[in-house]
Amino acid sequence: MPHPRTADLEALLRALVDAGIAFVVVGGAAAVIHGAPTSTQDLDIVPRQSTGDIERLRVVLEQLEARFRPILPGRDLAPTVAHLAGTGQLNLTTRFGPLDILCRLHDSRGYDDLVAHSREIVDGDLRVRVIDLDTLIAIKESTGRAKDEIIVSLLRALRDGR
Amino acid sequence: MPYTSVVTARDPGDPDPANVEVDLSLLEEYRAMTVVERLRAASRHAATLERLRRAASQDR
Repeated sequence: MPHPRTADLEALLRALVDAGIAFVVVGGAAAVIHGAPTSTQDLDIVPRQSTGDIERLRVVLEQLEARFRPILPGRDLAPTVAHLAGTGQLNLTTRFGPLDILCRLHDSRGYDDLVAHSREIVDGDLRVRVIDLDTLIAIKESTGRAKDEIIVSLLRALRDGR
Repeated sequence: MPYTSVVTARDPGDPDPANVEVDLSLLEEYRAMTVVERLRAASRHAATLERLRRAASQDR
């Protein structure tokens, strides 16, 4: 069964949380969680990279049938512990849609750098750690990508309560 | 309230082909939602847009 082309954000987050993975949500899903009326095709997370975390992440990714995307003939690769322990950005497809695991952001910050700039959001039984709005705005401003520029003004409006 | 608009951006050469769409008219609506409701709405919206994109590309 082919994987969905867009992420079921809630399902992916619940799978990761239920597996005991420590991570910070960044990217478009973080904007959504903060209240931005955007859509995003994938979930971006920055995971903690302790030995235990990496193994837990590998196991849950296996359960999610994670593969590097796009899957092409002769290229059907599952992420390994070495990938998860590295510094790369892993663009994966899963049975709940696209999941990007950012071992480091484009500015080289990882989980340990970002956790102080995040906050835990609780909604019922869902408890996720999300990059804070100021840091998300700064990240989006620093990428120089058109799609990020579009969302920065919206995030500022959210932050300023407009 | 800002002008209602849906904006799509896609950067040429971006290795991550994900688009972002912003509908400013929904700002107040999203604010009133719970986090889980926002996640569900964003996922639904993305899936709908993807279906429309694929349908449009097949029509060309």
